[in-house]
Amino acid sequence: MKGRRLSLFLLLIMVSLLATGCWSRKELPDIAIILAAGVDRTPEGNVTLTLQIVKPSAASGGGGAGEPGKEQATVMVVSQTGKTVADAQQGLATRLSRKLHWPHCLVFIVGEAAARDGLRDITNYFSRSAEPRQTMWIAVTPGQALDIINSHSEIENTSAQAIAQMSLQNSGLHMEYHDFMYDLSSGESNPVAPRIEIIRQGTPQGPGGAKGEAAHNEAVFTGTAVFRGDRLVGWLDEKDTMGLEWLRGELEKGIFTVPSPSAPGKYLSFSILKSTTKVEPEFVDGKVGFHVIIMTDVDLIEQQDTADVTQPEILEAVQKTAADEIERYARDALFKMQVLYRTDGCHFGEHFHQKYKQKWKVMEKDWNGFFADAGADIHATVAVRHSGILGKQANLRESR
Amino acid sequence: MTEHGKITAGQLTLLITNTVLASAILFAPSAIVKHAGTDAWLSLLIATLAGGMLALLAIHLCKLFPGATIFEFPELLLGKVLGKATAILYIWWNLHICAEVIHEFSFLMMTAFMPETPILVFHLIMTAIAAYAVWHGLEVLARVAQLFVPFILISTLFLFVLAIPQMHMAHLFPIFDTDPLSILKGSAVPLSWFGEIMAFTAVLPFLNNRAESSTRSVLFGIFLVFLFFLITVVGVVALLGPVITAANLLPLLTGARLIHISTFVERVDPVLVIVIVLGGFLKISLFYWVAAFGSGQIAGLRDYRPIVVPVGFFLFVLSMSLHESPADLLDFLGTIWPVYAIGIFEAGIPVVLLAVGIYRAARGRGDSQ
Amino acid sequence: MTEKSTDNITQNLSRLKSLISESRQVEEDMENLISVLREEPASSAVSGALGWQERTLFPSLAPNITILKNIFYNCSDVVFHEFIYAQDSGTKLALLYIDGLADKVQVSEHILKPLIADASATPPNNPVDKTQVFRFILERQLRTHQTRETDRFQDVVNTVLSGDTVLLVDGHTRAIINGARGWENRTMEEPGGELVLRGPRDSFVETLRVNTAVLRRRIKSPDLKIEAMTFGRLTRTDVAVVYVKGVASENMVEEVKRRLGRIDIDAVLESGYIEELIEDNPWSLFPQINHTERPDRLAARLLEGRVGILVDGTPFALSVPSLFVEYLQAPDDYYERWQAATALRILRFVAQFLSLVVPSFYLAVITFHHEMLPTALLLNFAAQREHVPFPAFMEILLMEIMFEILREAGLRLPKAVGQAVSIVGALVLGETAVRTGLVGEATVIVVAVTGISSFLLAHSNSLAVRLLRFPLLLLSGFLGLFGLMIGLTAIFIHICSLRSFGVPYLSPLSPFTPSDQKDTLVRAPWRAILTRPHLIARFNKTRQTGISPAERI
Repeated sequence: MKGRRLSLFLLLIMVSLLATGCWSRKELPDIAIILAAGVDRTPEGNVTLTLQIVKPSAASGGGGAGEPGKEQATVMVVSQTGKTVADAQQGLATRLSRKLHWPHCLVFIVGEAAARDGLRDITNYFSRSAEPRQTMWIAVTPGQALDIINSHSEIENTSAQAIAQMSLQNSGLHMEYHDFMYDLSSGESNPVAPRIEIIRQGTPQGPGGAKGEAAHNEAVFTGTAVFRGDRLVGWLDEKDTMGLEWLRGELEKGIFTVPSPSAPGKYLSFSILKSTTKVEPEFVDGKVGFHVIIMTDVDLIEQQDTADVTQPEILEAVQKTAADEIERYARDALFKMQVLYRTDGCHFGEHFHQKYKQKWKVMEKDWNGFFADAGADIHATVAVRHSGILGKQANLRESR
Repeated sequence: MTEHGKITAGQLTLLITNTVLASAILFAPSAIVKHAGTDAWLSLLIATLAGGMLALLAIHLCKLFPGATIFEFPELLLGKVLGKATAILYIWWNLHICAEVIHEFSFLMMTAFMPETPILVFHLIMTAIAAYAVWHGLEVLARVAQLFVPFILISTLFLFVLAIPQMHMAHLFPIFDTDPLSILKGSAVPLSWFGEIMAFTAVLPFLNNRAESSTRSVLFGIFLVFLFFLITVVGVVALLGPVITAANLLPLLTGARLIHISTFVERVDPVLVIVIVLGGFLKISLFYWVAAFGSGQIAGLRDYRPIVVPVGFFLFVLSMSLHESPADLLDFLGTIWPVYAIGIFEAGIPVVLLAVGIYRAARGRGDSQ
Repeated sequence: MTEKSTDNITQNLSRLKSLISESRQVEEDMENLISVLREEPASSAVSGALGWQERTLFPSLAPNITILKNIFYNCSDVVFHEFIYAQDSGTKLALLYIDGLADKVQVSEHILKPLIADASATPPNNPVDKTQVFRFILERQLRTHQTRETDRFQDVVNTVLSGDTVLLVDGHTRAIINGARGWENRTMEEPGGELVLRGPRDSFVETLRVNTAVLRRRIKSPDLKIEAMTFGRLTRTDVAVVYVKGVASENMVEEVKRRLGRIDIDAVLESGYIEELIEDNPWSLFPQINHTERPDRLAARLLEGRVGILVDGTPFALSVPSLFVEYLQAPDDYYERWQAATALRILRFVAQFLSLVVPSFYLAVITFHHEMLPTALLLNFAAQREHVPFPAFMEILLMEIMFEILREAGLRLPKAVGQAVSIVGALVLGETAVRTGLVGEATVIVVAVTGISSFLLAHSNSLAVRLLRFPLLLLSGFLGLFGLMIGLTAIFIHICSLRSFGVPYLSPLSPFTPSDQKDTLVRAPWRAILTRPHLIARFNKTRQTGISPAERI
């Protein structure tokens, strides 16, 4: 039958095609899995690319190959300078026994010098190539990215995994690469990125670790890097970062502490359950203004005073104090953005664009200036949703 | 003559849905958003309404000559020479779309998936697998569609559900930000995809209960297209924002790359590519079948199957030689294709045919009275 | 005196005449006999196409016996028993049967005893009249349950070969066929291949008559038709086409009979012969005719409008048309609670898919699409594969082939040795192969998942899946997920193009029949399954009229 001949013919084509090669195949032992990448700029204007490459036989949790008790290095860090990122990468590729594998790069660290010089040149490689994942975490370090990549985590297998885990779980501002790039490209906003630093923290203990090091260096997040366009202009500390998150309406979790309204010297701590921010822009007489309304649901998690928060008037006072604190956080952050750095990292431009579509087209180019001169009033409300399992301080009698 | 298969109304709906959607959700969002920005959905709505009109045009044409395909009735309307010429033009159009789609999907596979593999491999394999389906005829094609299309639609939907955490609703605003002309311009691109329904003038005669359900199932198909097109465009813009969507060659794919849920679902884009290529295969097979079947009908063959392989070779060569570069392809799809496809094949000739048909019918009535 | 002598003379003359005519008869018989013997040498009597098959019996016993003995030359199990009729010592009788096929008790009690020993039976008015002897024996003396007459050698030979006992009567051109079959049957056991937790435990056996009886016990209706046929020039295997008249569509029954009618083969030893001879697409890997050894299952299929084919000598009954979804349905689906049955059905669908694609998917992911793996998992895989010298494709192929070898070995070996095989399999392949770095742990898991999933499938279906796994593995080894997709697409196109006796193989999934979905992926509660499958029982779809809401409790 004809059909049979046709299928045989097609089969023949396929087989002959298949037999000629398997072009995109990469066996696992042939690839060098990159977990973290860092970019620095040398004083001469070149780019230094630093990669953290995993050593599979040591990094695995399972598998019978590794001998227990014996400490092994889990990663290798390599570094290369070139005119462009791709140039540096090519330099590394020729010096490694395996093919560089980008898709599992979890974190992307930018050194301060590179960030101040402008990120557009550096990020182009990562945006253009299909290989690196767009969801990797981006962070800026006040020193050299090389040092962050070189750090080691005591708890996780690699520092890259530790940084990714912190970004996923912990409070604070964290940025995925594509979100950063969106802010960079949209024209409505300026990007921000978390600040990462090496901090001396923690002492490894146990039979293996007890003998030596007194303290240990780890990479941790310590605030926010603020950009104007693609250039780094300054830093915010952790408190201002929280304020910024409130302004951006991105706060999902976190804890803040306020002085007790009833007992001086005592404090209350709240955990944030949910927070929404409404920004109402206005444009009067060529001047931009914003009304920011922050509504936060919190949980009272620690109370040093002895007031009975189940009483409506006391609860009212507590909520008022917390709201004042939130307003202070937000105002401080906004002040720094407007006055110190003159850059809109708060997504206010987005709100303004939505309301004033026609005016935006004129103002877009000079938006940071309008933002810096804008007036803003911030109003926060707080609702205490749960107050722990205690109605009031009942566990201790107040000492006289 | 040569095809004895019958398809059901449900199968017709799914075939139409897939034929328009398969490549549109890949390439159209970027082109629409380039013109219409955050008002892309409005362009889409206009395109859908216009596409519905085109579909009604196709149904009307088929109703003028029940049982006859687009390769037969021009001859009855325009006479032997002009009619044959029209039919040959339509065969060319189907071959052209088919080759374009093969090219598009090979390009997708190569850029997004396996850059080291020579593109020839994808062209050849896609043509070959489509040839295998076409050889089995329309009925089998419709059955495969009935299995695959719901799967494709549900997977796409599921993917967007997974992507919800990465979406920013703010990207979708402001609405009515674009001027009406740009919105209209933006609607031309999806309309050229909707117009591909004109190929169903060769399929409608094989509907098993033609009279009652053709209009309803075609329009339901268009509604499904609109629904999923809308989900895609809105979803992609919410994921990437209008600027990046417009600048990206394959925004849907880039959007899918952002999906990650905790640390265990990451980078599902290969699955998306597979699902989309599945739809592409069905689309290629349908146009391939129309072209092969039409050629057989014009040549007066008893069975079109002997020419399936020659047509396949022609398609392979044509698709290989179509575009120099991806940018060329996108430029062609965004500017030349709408004019060429809508102007001539999707609206131009059908309107003329329908006008002649109605005129003839009116005169025929006049004569008989 | 002269009157008397003339009387004598005429009497003698008439005797002479009759003698002459008899001698002519003898001459004729002898000539016949000689010509038969000339035409066919004794050794090839059976295989010859012409000759005895077309002949009728001779009126006297001797030539008949001679010819039959020639036909059964060297058949040591054929018994010729010649004896003298008790009522009339002038009549010779011969009994012909096969030792082992005929029931000896019946032969001696119901045939031999009345004819040899029982002289008390009242003979007809003239016992010398041979015509009446024949009828007397047939109608009054034989005590067997089935008797019929024949005058053809072919019938005699065929019935003897089928186990009947043939009585030849001297002076008659007809023989009596006695249905006194009786041979050793395998006792009915639990079906080996289709075990159920809930449901009947009987199964078909190798004897057609027993099987039809079992079926008849389940469907006590005159509408259950059992049409007998015989196939195989040498084996002469009895085949019965069974269907429920009025439920099975006439066209379907006709089509089955038409296809069966085309068969011309020397031997049918199992229903598999017939299956391959009448199926729609003999090139397909997928079974288009279903088989079962469970009477309840066959009965259920007949009641859905399918046609069954029972073959003597095998417990496996065929049923047509058969659809893809049938292979994912188990008999207890209909006996257990419907929710559980539905869940298990879906599980089987998943298992079918898994056993087809898991190895290729794994291969595609670890050699082409590493980015799909979570980082931690990728690192684990990388660590495992670090010490494996083969490419992943070779590794998986090796393990898959090893698994198939083990499986086949376990199937064919005696039970005691089979256990040793599983120990070797588990220890050597599972544990040591990983330790020595021949394969990675993940590959072992993948192969195990594949294997276990395939155990959920019906055997004939799992054969197709097991075979298709390898081309898919090859495709995804070269083109990754794209190759896997191409392979699956080709398989789906193929399945969609299949038909089983005119019914699309993938129905009711594609073409989609909404009402049949109650018994496809889900098994709806019985009170909801009101209709038979639409494409099979085309003209009589009503299963039950349904319980009206008022009657529901």
